[in-house]
Amino acid sequence: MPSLIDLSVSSPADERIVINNFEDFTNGKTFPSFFKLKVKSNCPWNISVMSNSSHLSSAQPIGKFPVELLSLRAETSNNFVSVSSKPKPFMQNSNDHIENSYSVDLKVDSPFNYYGGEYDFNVIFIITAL
Amino acid sequence: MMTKFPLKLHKRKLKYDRINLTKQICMKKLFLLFALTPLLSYAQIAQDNVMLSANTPLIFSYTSVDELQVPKIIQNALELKLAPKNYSRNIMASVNFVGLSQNQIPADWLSLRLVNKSSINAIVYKNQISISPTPILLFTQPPTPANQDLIFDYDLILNPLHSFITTGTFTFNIIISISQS
Repeated sequence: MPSLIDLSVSSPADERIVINNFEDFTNGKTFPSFFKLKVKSNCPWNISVMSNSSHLSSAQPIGKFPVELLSLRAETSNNFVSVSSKPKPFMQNSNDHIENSYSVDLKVDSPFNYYGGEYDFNVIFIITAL
Repeated sequence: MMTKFPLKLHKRKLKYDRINLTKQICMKKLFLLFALTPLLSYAQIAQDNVMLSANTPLIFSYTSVDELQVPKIIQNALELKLAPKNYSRNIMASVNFVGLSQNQIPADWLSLRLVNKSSINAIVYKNQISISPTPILLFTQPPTPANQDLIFDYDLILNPLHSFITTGTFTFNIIISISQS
């Protein structure tokens, strides 16, 4: 039997996140359970996270919005991991079950020094059998 | 056939009558065991054996993780053949995974499911039974006056997994034991 592993990622049907009040703009905003991860594996694993770009993209000619302002927290952890264009260790198996589901919180740090507008971003989850 | 020997001796010898499937009904093993018994009892014990044969290659393989979560079944995988006798016998099965310790193999991973039998009076306790390194009773065959061999056909089932498992290729032996009851 080889190492068998599968990761599926889902997010809310409406993937738009909106920051439109002063408090969120100042302090940042957390979106609980923004992603759902479903892992199936017959062996231990870990997940890294990254973005496909160092900046969020926008159709408008506005300033660059660094992807590091986004961070993620797995439900098995207390700490947020900021997203970058290079993979960062994010989480690992917390038990030896074949199937597990996890919620992932998304946090947007204060975009206080950046232009308002609409931005797109991609988050990439990479799972590795150990 | 009537024995002229004490029943105790007979039972003791039968208890170690084991047949290894992967060695294609290891008659050589049986012969060696019997050769250690007194010659006078050889004839009777040698006639009371159970034959286990594979009807198809017993190979399971996985190509996706989803396959771990559903049973894998080799239908009509095994045929167990038992000569009719005028005394009652217990037929037991166990499995041995080569080179792996017991805690590396999930409990209840492998099962035998009886799908057909020619015996009209066999006492089958459960149609599907999980096998482990410890022999477990498949059925009791009461005295049978018939002349024909008794046939029992089994599916071999690899049950769904719920926990991590050692990766690699596993070889297993299914062992059938017979004892007078």
